Formats: sequence, C-alpha cells, structure tokens
Amino acid sequence: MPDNTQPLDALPPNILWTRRGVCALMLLLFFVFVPVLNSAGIVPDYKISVLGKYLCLAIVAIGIDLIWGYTGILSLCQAFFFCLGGYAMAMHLSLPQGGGDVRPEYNNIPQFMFFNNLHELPGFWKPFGSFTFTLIAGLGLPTLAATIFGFFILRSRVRGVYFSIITQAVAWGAWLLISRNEMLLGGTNGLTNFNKSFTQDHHWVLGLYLLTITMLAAVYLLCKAIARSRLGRVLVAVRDKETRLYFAGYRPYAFKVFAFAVAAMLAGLGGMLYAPQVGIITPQNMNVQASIDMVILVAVGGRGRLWGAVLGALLVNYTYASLTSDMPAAWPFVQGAMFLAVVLLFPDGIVTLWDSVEKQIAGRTGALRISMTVLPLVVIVLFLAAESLGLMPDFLQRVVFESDRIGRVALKYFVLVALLIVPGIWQKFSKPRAAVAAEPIELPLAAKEAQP
Amino acid sequence: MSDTIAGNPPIEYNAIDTYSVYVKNVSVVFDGFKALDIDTFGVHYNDLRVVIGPNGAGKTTLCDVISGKTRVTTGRIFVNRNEVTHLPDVDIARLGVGRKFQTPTIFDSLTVYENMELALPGRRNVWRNLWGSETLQQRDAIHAILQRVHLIAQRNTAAKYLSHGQRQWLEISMLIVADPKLLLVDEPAAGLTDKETELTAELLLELKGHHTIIVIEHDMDFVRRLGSRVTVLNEGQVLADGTLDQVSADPKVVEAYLGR
Amino acid sequence: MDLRRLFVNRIVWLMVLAGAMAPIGASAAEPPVPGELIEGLKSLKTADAAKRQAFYDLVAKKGDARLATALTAYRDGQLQLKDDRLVAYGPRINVPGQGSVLPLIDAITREPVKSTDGQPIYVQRPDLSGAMRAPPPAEKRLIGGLLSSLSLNDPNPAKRKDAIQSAGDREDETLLPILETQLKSGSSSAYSTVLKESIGRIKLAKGTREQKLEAADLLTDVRTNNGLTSLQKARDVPENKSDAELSARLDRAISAGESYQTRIRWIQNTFAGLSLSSILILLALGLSIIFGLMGVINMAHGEFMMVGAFTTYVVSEFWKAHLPGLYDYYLLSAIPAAFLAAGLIGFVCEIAVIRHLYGRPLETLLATWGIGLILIQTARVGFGDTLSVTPPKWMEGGIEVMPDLYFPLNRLFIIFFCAACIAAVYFIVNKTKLGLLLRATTQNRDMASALGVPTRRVDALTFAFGAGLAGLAGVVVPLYNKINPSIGQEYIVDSFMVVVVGGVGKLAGAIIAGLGLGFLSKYLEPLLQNFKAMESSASVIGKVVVLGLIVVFLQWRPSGLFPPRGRMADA
Repeated sequence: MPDNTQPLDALPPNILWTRRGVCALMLLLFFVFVPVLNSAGIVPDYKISVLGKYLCLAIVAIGIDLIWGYTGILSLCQAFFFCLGGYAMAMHLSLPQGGGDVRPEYNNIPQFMFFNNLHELPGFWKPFGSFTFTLIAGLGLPTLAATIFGFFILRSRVRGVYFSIITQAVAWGAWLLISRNEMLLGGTNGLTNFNKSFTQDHHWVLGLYLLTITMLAAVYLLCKAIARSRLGRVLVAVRDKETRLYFAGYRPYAFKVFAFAVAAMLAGLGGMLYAPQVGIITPQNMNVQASIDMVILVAVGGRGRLWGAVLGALLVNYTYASLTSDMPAAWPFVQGAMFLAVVLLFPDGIVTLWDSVEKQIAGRTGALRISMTVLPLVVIVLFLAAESLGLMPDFLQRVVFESDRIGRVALKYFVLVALLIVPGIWQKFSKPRAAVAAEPIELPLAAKEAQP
Repeated sequence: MSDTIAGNPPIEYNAIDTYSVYVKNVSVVFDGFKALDIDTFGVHYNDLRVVIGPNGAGKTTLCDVISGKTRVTTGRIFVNRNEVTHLPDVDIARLGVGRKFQTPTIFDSLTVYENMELALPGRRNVWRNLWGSETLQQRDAIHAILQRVHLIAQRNTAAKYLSHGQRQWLEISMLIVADPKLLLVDEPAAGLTDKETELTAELLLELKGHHTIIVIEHDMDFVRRLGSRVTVLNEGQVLADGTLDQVSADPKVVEAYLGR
Repeated sequence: MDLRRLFVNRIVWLMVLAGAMAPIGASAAEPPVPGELIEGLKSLKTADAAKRQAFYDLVAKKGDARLATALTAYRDGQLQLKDDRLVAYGPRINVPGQGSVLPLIDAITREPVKSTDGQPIYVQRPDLSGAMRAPPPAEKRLIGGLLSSLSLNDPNPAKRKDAIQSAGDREDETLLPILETQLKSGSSSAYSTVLKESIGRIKLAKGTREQKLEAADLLTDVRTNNGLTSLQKARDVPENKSDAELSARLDRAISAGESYQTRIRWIQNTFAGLSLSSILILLALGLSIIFGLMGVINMAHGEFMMVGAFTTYVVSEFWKAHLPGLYDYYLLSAIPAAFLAAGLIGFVCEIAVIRHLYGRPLETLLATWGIGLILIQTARVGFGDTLSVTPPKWMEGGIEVMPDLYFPLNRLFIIFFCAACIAAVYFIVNKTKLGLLLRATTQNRDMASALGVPTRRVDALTFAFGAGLAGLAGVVVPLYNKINPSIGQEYIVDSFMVVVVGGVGKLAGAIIAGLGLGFLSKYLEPLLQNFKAMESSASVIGKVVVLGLIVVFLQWRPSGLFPPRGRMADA
C-alpha cells in the first residue's frame, strides 16, 4: 500500500496516471455531468437536493477521517458540531433577512416562537439576521466549542475509549438541552419554514449543489495539505504512540485539539450547507445515534484516506435511502451488520480494494485479475450513480419478493450483492499466475490503534 | 576530584553545579512497595554512566523519575541546574532530556525518515509543524546517521517492517538527531546480535564527550565494552559504584546477583 | 479446573439469594368480619331495646366498615335473614332480558346470592315480607351516626387511614367526637398522626378559639403536609390574624412543619438517588468488569439490559397465562431467566465478535454498537414498541416510615435486589476461584496465561457475566416503568459516566461513583427547580451540570477515582 504520507512523485508512473485519470473522471462527473443532466431535465431537482445533502455529510466525514483515521481519536459528538453549524444557518434562514416565513399575524417572528408565547425576537437570535455573522458563527461556534472542550478533556490525558464515551455524553447532554422548548430553538420540532425555493427552485437547488461540491473539493484539498505537512505526520505519530511524543518534547494534546477543532469546523460547514438543502433541522440530527452514524461513513469508506470518507458517505447514505424506502424494517439490521462487517472483515474499508488494484497495476498483473479486483469498485460507483441520479434501469427495480413484514425486495439488491461477492470468491480460489511481488504483508491500519 | 558519592555528599548547590544529573534522597513507593530509594546519584557533564542491577532493582524506575514518567514520592532531581522533580514529562524533554525505552518505541506507520524528521530539534508546536519543511543541513544530518546505522536503504520503509535490531537503532538514531543534553538509554543491546551490539556500543561511545549519557544494561559484555563507570542498583538502592572490575569484585554485588 | 462448574455454582447461589428476597412483603389477606358482630346482627330480629343498644355499643367499639351494607339495610327495614344468612337487595342493575332488577346480595360479603340452580336471584320489586322490622326513629339516627364512623374503623389499614384523612379534608366536624375517642383510646396508635392531623384541621377550620390553639399544637406535633396547608390557610383568615397569640402559635406550627417537610424532601431525594444509583451501579459493574478485563467498552450493554427486561416480560406473560394464581412469584423465574438470556447473548457475542477484536478498543466500541442496533431491531420486530409488565401484587403501595415519608415498595425492592446483586458480584470477584482467575487475567494477561489460566474462556465467561448483570438490571426496570426496545439507551450514557468516574475495572470505584452520580443528580434537580428559568427543565439541566462536573473532575483525576498505579499504569 502506498502510504498516504509518501510523496506522490515516488509512485510508479502507471499508478500515477491511473490516479489522475480516476480523479479527472470524478471531477467531470460531479462538476459537469450532474449539472448538465439536471439542466437537461433528465435528473429531477429533488435528486440533486438529496445528492447535495449527502455531500454535506461527506464534508463531515472528511473531518472525522482527520481525527479518527489520522489522529486515532474517535469523537462521538460530531453530530453536535454539525448541528451547531446547521442551527446557525437555520436561524438565519428562519428570519426575514434569510427569507424565512414570518408573518405579521405572528408578530413577524418565527412561528414556533409565537406559539411559545413570545412577542419579540430573543436577543441571541438578533445577530443571526446578518449573513456574515451567521457564517462566522456557523464555523466559529463548533471550532470554539471543540477547542475549549478538547483542551480540557485532552489536556488531562483522557484517551482512547474514555475520550469517545465522554464525547458521547457531551452529544447526549447537548441533545437533551436543545430538545427543550426553553432553548428557543424550536424544541423537538427543530427549525423549518425556510424559503421554499431552496428545495424547489431549479436554480437554487443546482446552485447549492455546486456550492456544496466545491466546498467538498476545497475541504478535501485542505485536509490533504494538512495530512501532507509535517503536522500530518505528527498526527499519525499521535495515533501510533502518543506516549512516545511526550518524551520527544511534543505536547500531543495540542495536536489533538487542533485536529478536533478542524474536524468540528468541517462538521459545522457541513451543517450550514445541509440546513437549506433539506429545509429542516431538528434535534434528531444531533442525538447519540446521529454521531455514530457519521463515524460509520468513514469506517465503511476506509480510515486514514480522505477519499475513502467521501465514498463511504455516499455509499452508506444511498444504501440507507434505498433500503428505507423499500424495506424499512431491514435498515437497522443492515446497519448493524455494516458495523460488524466493517470492523471484523474489512477494517480498512473500501479503500483496500483500490489499494489492491494499484498493487496489481504496479505489478503488471493480468487484465482479468485486475478487472476482477476493480469490479466491486465499479459496481459500487455504478450503484451510487444510478441511485443518486435516478437512473436505475427498470428491470433492476423489478420487485422479486414482497411481504408486509419485510417490504419490497428488488432485483437490484441481489445483483448488487452478487457482483460484490463473486469477485471476492473468485479471488480467493484462483491462484495468482506469478508470485506476487515480495512486498511485506500489510497490517490493517486498524490493528495499529492497539493500545495495550 | 573525588568520585566517591557513597560518602557524605557535598553541599547541594555545589552538587547541582557539578553534576549534569543529580538525584537526591529520592524514593518512589508503589502501593507500599519501595521501588526506588536513592540517597545520592550524580553523573558529571558529558560523562557516560552505566547502571546495572538484578531484575526489579529500580533501574527503569530511575529513568522514569528523571524523565518525568513517574513521580517521586520524596526527594529532588536536578538536570543541568534545573529542578525537574515536579515538571511534566514534556517540559523535561524540552530541557534536553532524551529517552530510549526498554522496548523500542517508534512510530510504526511512519517511514524511517519521517520518524527521524519528527525527532529533529525545534518545531514542537502546532503552527510551526503546519508550514515549511526541514532544512538541507537537517536532511543531511538525518541521512548521515541513517548511513551509520545501515538504515539508509530503508529510509522510505514504514517503521513497522523493521527488524528488532533496526528498531533499536532507529530509536537510538532518533535520540542522536534530537541532540539532547542528557540521554537516558534503557537496554539498548537487548535482543541484538553480537555484531549489532558492537555497533550500538560504538555509537554510544561516539556520543560520550558531547552528551551526558545514562545507560541501563544487563549484558555484561556490552557494559565492559563501554568501559565506563558503573553504578549497581539493588532493591531500589545504590549498592556499589566504580569501574566494572571494582564493582564485580564487591561481595555485596556478587551476593545481590547470585542471591543468598 | 472446571471453570464452567465453578461459574454455574456461583450463579445458582446468586439466584437463590435473589429469589429468596422475592416474597418479602407479601401481604396477608383481610381478616374475616368478627363473628360476634354477625351474630349480633342476626339477633336483632328478636332483640329488645337493651340488647339492641348493647349491639350498637359493640359496633361503635369494634366497628367494621363491612357492616355498612347490613346496617343500612336494617335501618331501612330491608335486612332479611334467609337460611341463617343475612341478605338484602343490592342497588338496581340492568340485566339483559329482564330489564331493571334488584339483585339479592349477601349483606356482609356483598356477593350475589345464588339460587339452588346456581343462578343469581333477581326480583322486579323488593319483597320485604321476611325482612327484619326497622328500629325506632331514635335508633335510626344512632345508626346513621354509627355508619359515618364505621369507615373510620375499617379493618383495612389503608382504607381506614384514607377515611380518617378525608374526614380532615372535608373538615367534617360531626366526626370530631369519634376521631377524638379513637385518639384517646390509644388502641389506634398507628393512626395517631393522621388522627391528630384530621382533628387539628377540623378544629382549625370550624372550631372555637380555644380549639384553634389546641389545633395549632396538634399540627405542630404532626408537621404533615396537609396540616401545613390548613395552617397556612388559617393564617390568612382575617379573624385569626387579628389574634396575636393565635397567629404566633400558627406561625410556630408553620415553621415547624416547613422545616420538617424540607427534611422529608431531602430524605426522599436520597431515597430516589439510592434507587437510581442502584440500577446504575448494577449496569456499571458489568461494564466496568468487562472494561477492566478486556479494555472493551460495551456499547450494547444497555441492550443486554433490554434483553433482560423483555425476558421478564415474556416470563410474566407465561405466568399470567399458565400460573395465574402464583403470579406474585413470577420474579422467581424471571430473575434467572433474564440473567441467562442476557448472559447467553453476551456469550455468543463474545465468541463471534469481540474475541476477534482484542487490542482494538475503538473498533470494538463500534462493533458492539452494531450488535446493539441488531438487538433493538430484533426486539422491535418481535415484540413491537411499548410494553408493560404487571408488577406483583405485594409490590404495590409503600411503607410510611414517618408522617408524609413514603418509601414505595417497588423502589425498596429494587434497592435491596441491586444491593444483593452487588454483594454477590463482590463476593464472586473477591472470594471465589473464578474471581481470582478474573483478577489475575485483568492484572497481567500474559502472566496469567503462562500460569495456565484459560484466559480466553475467562474472557467469554466474564463478558457473559457482565451481560447477565445488565440482564438483572432489566428485571427491575419494568417494575416502575414501561419498557421499549430502546430502553437501554436511556441508562447507558449514565452508566458509562459511572465507569469513567469510578476508574477502570474497580468495583469499589463503580459503586462509589454510582452512588455519587445518583445522589448528585437527584439533589441537583430540586435545587435547580428553585430557579424560575430552569423550573421545567430542571432534570435536563441537572444532567448537563453533572456532565460538566465530570469533565471538571477529570481535570483533577483523569483516570477516575481509583486509577491504576505502578507498572500497570502505562501498560
């Protein structure tokens, strides 16, 4: 596996070109194909909104990858930071300056306040009338919260699972608080009644989508730069052997707080883009489950690799969307199975597939072998493309089996599972022609997290 | 200069000035068990001192209290005229105390070169790490050391693929490149072949004269090769002190090693 | 060493211990109506005035509320003696096919009287030919007075207490003489508080100035909440206000009552804290043992509790269907069943999943979360959403330890049950061979393994044991709450915090931290309610404050109350 910290120019040229090609293809797909198909009317607006929403989660996932994949600390309160950004934006959008639906008969304040017996806007809402302030707050609040909280918790050398469950408790406490009506943030109903055109007007939808994908690209490059810098190597060192760093004169907590704060800022950014595209934000977006759901995006995609987080975010969310519409009762089972499978069977997530592809290209393995390795990846990408753009062929949508208890099982699921499993089996039982290059066997990244 | 420390120690300020490491009346108690109980222990500037002793004698604990990993129960510790008794481990490291652990601890997913890079002196805070890269001189220094320990070919290999001996060397190399004033080297020869041991000894002897070094070792051949003053610890206390020949002739030492 | 046998022995021990506690407090059936009263009623048919008066006196002395029907019927001339049985007509009812009818009922038990063919007897019009003659008007009035005092003599202590209390609520001065007689007789010392309270309240509202002063003293004595309310009401009456002596006495009584009530509230909060803590500790013990042994935070721990709760539900339904008469004892089988069910699932999880993840604590955390999701959804598909378990009869009600201070029996049971479990865990871990193996493996896995401890099996059994403990917590939760598949999530964050504060793998830490957190949150709640802005969210804010305190606490003690020390510390 080419290490993520290795300089790019050390790669063999054929791999370099493969990477560049795939990269260009993805850029083309997201920046050209999707907008063109949408403008041509082939892909409906709501599909674009949904894609935009999942790309917001991909931004959050990149942040999680930075703290978990690189720095090795598992935060279970990212959804809280996400909602800090989301609520900041939602507050702006609820006010008249942000196009919120306020009416004279409700004293020109958001309706839920009127029904909470309020007659004028509470003080802390007022600055959110300004878009600039909202932007600063949406990015700054999560960063500040993470810095303060991270400083206190990480400085006292709280580590590993300890840190995780304390962040979980924080997420839980914040969720309890924000669900109260007294917080004047809409209680359990959350904030809604934004301008309808964000989700219904073609130009807004496409514009928000393009903004999101641009932000995603920018965030990706930013995090890539952090990972490539010496700081990135210190972060990996924190993951590998934190105690050693103390005796080398580093204060690991400072680096951890930095990573935590960046991740929180990205979560806030994701939340700010999320609110207008979904049209509602509620405390449900920040409960304990929501944070862990964000972690699984990264686990499925692959830790310690930024694009893995993006792929994981899209794959998990589209599987979720597809399953909950067809077989609502099955989703928690599938999700639970995902947690188990990704931990037990693929600790490095989908990115390992790509790694073996690269290894085979570098070793100039036969075309059949390479294509069998590539097949699952291609299937995943095609599935995502078809689901996200609503282009799933009709014959795959045919319902094979239907029952009240389970729901509708379409052919596509069988095809998907088969195409993912068959190459794996084939790989297992077919002997490679040439001896594989005598490279050392790669330990799963996850095994490194081991702390005795 | 009188090297006998076992007798009445000189007045404190004098000792603090004289010694690079000065440990005074230090005891460490774990759950009622006295792991370390040292009246006086001092190492002169740029001297190499070997600490030997049977298992559980408190050798590693001595390293731990100097580097701040373990807190003393009573007593005071000075390194290069600074009191470090209650300093956090990070601050002690920043005073120029480098440490090699008993089992090599290096950053497994980083390459050999990157491990060395992180050990370079300076640039310890977040912002300085975000920008810039190492200077040409630093790069050359790293390469020179790697050359010396035969790791140059593996410089772009992740550290987890190194053999045990290579890991020991990498950690020693990291110490060297960090250029600390005081080196605490815990069992550098453990698990090495004879050839590797020889090189390790050579490296340490090269450092002698530029750095204060405390070496903890079991391997008597290795200790002999270092040819430096030896302190024997037993049950947390300083048992004897002198050249290797002197201490191995000491009946107390023989008894401690062979049991009664 | 046969680990399994060792283990099973301890478990059986624990079960027996827990089971033995179950029937405590099963209440006795009501005593029968005294025979002399029934004979007296029967003799009324022929009795002369003197004998009747003797009977009335007897009723006044030994009065029994169950005589009310018979006495009313006698007064109204409707009591009949049929086949040596006292019967009367009950209130009119509608019977299909017969219209509005009068049922013939037993005057004592109020059961319908059946004819020889087993059918209840109904009549359209009362047939009073065989009825006893009604007493003269003077005696009718006397009976009326007796009737209203009868409920004050109800043999059922709870009903009698209610009657006395409601006399005070209604401020019914006609009952004053009876209440005072009862108080003076001293035979009813168990009721003296409530008697004093009611007498005081009646006198305070309806009495003369002298009586009011007397009432103030009585109420100072009892200091109950009801008394306090009446006192406050009386203080604001203008007539009392102008009376300096009276209002001074009233104020004294009020302040005595208030300080007493504050004290009561503290005790009650302590009690509530104790019952919350005991469940938390039970959950945290399992978590802590597992965490200490394997470094694994078990996110599915709450779900193991849920498994225990649903097992309890299944068992209780089974008893309801097949052993309805013995329903009160369903806990006897629910306790072992819940322990085994949760333990078995835990065992399977350990073998199938957790075993393969040693040394990867963060991933284990995710995997156990996945297990939790699957368990929740399985329960949801299998059982639906909200369920409730009928608690055993003997667990209804509570013990009034002091005036106004109630300890509900179900909470008491929970505290004792958890305490017994905790004691059993302590015993198992510290005094048994299994515990020795467990501690050895926790302290130094490699060394234990080298000495022949089957560490893998110890792991699996310990995980199962921890899960079983969560299952036991699941037995008690349905005693005071409805259950649903995600009930575990409500407790899990709290119990994690207990482990964090207590320190890894330290039982004493878990117990102290559990008590601390339980009390803290229960004490904070009323404290926060004093602030107007936080009144309605006091419990939520209390939780958040506790969380903040934990973060502060970790600044001071990052590894909890009982941090590992020495060589273990940096392992």
